[in-house]
Amino acid sequence: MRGIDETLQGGTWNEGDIVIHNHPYFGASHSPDIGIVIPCFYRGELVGFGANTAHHLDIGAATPGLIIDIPDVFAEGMLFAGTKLYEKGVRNEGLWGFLGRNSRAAKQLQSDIEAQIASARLGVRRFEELMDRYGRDTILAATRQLMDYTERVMRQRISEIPDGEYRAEGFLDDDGKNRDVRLPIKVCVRIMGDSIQVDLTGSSDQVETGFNVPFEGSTKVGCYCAIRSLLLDAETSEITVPSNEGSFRPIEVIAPKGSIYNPKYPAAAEARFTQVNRAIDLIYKALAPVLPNDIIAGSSASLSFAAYSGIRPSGRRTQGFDPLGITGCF
Amino acid sequence: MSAQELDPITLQVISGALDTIAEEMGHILYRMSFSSIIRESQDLGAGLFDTDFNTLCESESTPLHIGSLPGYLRGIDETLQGGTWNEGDIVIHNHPYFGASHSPDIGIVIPCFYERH
Repeated sequence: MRGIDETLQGGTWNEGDIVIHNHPYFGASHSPDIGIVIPCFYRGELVGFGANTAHHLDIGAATPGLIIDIPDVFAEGMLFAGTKLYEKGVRNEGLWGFLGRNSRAAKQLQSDIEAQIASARLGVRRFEELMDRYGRDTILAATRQLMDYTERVMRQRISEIPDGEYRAEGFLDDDGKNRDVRLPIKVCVRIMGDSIQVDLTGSSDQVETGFNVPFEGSTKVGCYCAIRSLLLDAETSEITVPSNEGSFRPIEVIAPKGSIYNPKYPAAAEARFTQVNRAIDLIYKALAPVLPNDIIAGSSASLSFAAYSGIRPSGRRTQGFDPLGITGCF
Repeated sequence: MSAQELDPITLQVISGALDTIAEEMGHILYRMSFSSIIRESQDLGAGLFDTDFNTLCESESTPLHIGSLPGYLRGIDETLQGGTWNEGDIVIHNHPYFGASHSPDIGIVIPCFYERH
């Protein structure tokens, strides 16, 4: 949403607009995760957004499937930033055709985007219905209070951890091209009263392949995920704490510009899964001495999958990728 | 369209005019461009075409671009967004499987409407 705010086509939201956005240097998690965002106007006033993101099969990258050995972000395929797929209710047919002609899996891409639009539209409609029922002011006040409540609980949990710097180190096997050249990963978790700083300084410099991590969309989110799962686990928590922005507020994430967790544009940053999960594991490891009963064992921090693409003898294209053994989080 | 045979003088004058139009189009394109490949190397081709996509005139630029544009026009005819040309439309087209010379050669096509035709 912040990336779209910087890049929004035309600069303003109109009723009926639908934005498509997947730029890893404008907040997207990584380029195959296409975000669909629909503004919610209540009685003519912009009150929020219905949004979703989903990993697409093929966005026209240099090679099919997830990609590593590429020189820059442009080889990742189509990049959209604040682009309006619909403007005031009218679909941009040129853009729609462009999407179809630039994917090896055009039908799936377009149909999946249609599913995303249906989902976002539903969210917007439900939000409006909620306002119809309780009133705009009540709903907006409730959302603010709920975010504050989650933040308060999160800060209480953080306060229970003794202040200090907790460190852990690990490594990644290589960048996918320079085989067996290990990449160091360093994590420092600083507990400062009721807030947390996750500092990834000292981790590997950015790499020449697509094995970098988009900072806003993946590095920060990975750290949020680690802390949230540790301190606000829905399974073990005695109270229900809504999942909302409040849980992110006490967490600050630091990764130096030019490092694997905060690459400089236009470095490729498509294959970001294992690095994020390695960081999550190391956050757990760092906090193990002070949260021995809450820490879970490390994961493999890896994702194995088979990607295939080709033309059948009938002339039909076949394309897919199947995650085979998934651990950790996407 | 009239089947009249024009006198050789008028024909020659119109031929010269067409030739100049194509040359002017080429000049504008390379003088307004910024990249070394268009601005300095003149990797471009420009001209006018009739509604059957016949080349009427072409700029004297890069040999491999001369003769490529009717292929673009046929490819656009197959793929045209919305299916019809309107006044004010500008089409961008570079698909190598729809007539383009290769994908980095981007074609820009503007329909010419004269007295609404």
